[in-house]
Amino acid sequence: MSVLEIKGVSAGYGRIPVLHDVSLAVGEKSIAVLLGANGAGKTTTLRAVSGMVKYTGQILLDGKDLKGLGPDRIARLGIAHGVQGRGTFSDLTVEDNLAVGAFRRRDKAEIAADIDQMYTLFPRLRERRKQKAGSLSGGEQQMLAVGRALMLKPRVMLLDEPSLGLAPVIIDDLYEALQRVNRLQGIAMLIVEQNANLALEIANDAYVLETGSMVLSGTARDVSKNDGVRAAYLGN
Amino acid sequence: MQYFFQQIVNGIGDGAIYASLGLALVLIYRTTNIANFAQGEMATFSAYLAWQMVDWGVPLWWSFLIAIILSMVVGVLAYLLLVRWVQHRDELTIVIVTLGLFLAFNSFDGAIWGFLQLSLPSPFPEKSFAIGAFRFNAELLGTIALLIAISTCMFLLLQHTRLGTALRASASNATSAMLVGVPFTAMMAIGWGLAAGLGAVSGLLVGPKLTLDPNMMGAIIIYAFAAAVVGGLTSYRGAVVGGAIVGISQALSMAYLPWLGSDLQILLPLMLIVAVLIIKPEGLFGSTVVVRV
Repeated sequence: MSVLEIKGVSAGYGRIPVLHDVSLAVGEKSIAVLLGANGAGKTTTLRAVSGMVKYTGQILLDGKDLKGLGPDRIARLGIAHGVQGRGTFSDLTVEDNLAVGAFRRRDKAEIAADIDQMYTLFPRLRERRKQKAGSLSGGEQQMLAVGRALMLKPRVMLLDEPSLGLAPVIIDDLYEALQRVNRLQGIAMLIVEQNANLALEIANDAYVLETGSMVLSGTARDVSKNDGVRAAYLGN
Repeated sequence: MQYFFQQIVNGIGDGAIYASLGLALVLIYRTTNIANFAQGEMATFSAYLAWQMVDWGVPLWWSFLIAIILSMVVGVLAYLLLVRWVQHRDELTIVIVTLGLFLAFNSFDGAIWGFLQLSLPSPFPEKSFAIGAFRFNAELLGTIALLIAISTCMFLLLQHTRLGTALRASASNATSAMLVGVPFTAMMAIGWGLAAGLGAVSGLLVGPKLTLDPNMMGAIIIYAFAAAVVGGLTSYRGAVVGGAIVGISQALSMAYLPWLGSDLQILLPLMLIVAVLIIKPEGLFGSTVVVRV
C-alpha cells in the first residue's frame, strides 16, 4: 500500500503548463527519488503535493484525497515539505525552528526528546541552538530544514534538492542521516535531486521527469542501470 | 533638582501610555509588516465602548475588561475582512488602507457618540503617595504597573508558548510556517487581535486623562509612532524604552521650554523621529537583518 499516490496530475503556473499527466507512488516506509533536468517539473510536483500549486488529477495521502486543502492543513495531515534553499525561520533560534516544526504535535515530552535526537543527528545544530537561523551557514541551514521537517513526525517527507550547495562530505552525512531516519522511524520520503548518485543509492524507487512528463519509472536499481539515465544524470 | 526629577517621573507615566500603543504598533509591524496608522483610532473606539458600558451601568472594571475583549474581536475582524486582502500588495496600498481604517473608525465614533466631549472615569483611585520628596499618584503608579504586567505577559506569550513561537514563525517566513502546519491567516488575525487589545489598554488610560472625543488619540498616536520608531519598530523592548524617552523629553520640554506653548510641543516627537532616522536608522533597539549568503 502506498503512503503517497500521485495519479494523472497536470499543473502549471497561470497559463503556462508545467506537468502533464504525472503519476508516481511512494510506498510505506520507502524512499522514492525524482530525477530530472532543470525545469523538468520536479519542484512543481512537490509543490502540488503540499498544496502550493493548483492541479488537476488526484493526490492521495493514505488513500485520502488532498485536493482543495491548504498547505497548513496538508502539513497537519503529515506531509513535511523541505523547500529548496532556505526555508528556515531566519530570525528564530535554531531551537525555536525545531520546536515550531512540531506544531502539529501535542506530545510535549516526546517533542523535547525529538529535538535532542535532532542534535544527535546533526551535532552542529546543538552547538548553535541559541543562535538565530539566519546566521547559520548554508549547510547548517539545510540540516536545520531537514531537522525541522522531521520534527513534524511526518507520514511522508518531501525534500527538494537537499544536497544543493553543500560540500561533498556534508552531503554524505546528510544522506546517512536521512537513511537512518527512514530505517528507524519508518518515515517515507520523496526526494528530488539533480545529484542522482547518492539519491539512487538510498532509494527504493526512482522516477525520471522530462519536460513535465514521466519518462521512466522503476526500482532504483533498474533505473540506475538505464543507459539514458546513466548518460544524463550519473555522468557515465 | 527635585522639580526636575518630578518631571521625569511624570514623563515616565505618559511614556507608559505611548509605550502600550507603541507595543501594539510593533506587534502588528512584526507579524504583518504593516505600520497601522489606524491603531490610535481603534483605541479611541475602545474607549467609547468602555464609556458606553459605564453609561449603561456596568461596573467600571467590567466595562474596561469587556471593552478590551470586544476591541480584540474588532481587531481580528479588521484583519479578516479588510487587511488580509491587501496584505501582500505594495506598501502604498497598505498605507492607504490603514488610513481608510483611521477615517472609518473616526467617523463611526462621531456618528454614534457625537463630537461633544465625554468623560470616562479613571480606573485608579484619586490618591497620591509621598515617597521621600516625590509625589506619586495612584494613576501614575497604576499605569506603570499595568505596562510592566502587559510587557511581561507579551514576552512570555511570544517567547515561551507554542502559539507565540507559531506567531513569530509566521512573521518570519509565511510559506515555511504553513509548511509546518501553522495556519497563517489565523496567526495574522490573532496578531491583529492582540494589538487591538494593547491599543485598547492605551485608549482606556488616555480617556480619563484627557476628555473622550473622536480625535482624542490624534496626538497620542504620533507620540506612539515616535516611541516605536525610536526603539526600532521591530523591538518590543525598544517600544517600551522609546515610550519612556518620548514621555520624559515631552515632560521636560513642557517644564523648561514653556515658550513652545502647548501647540508646538508635538514638534518634539517628530524631531526625535527625524533625528533617530538620520543617526541610527534601525532605531536604538532595532535589529539590522543579518543573512548569510
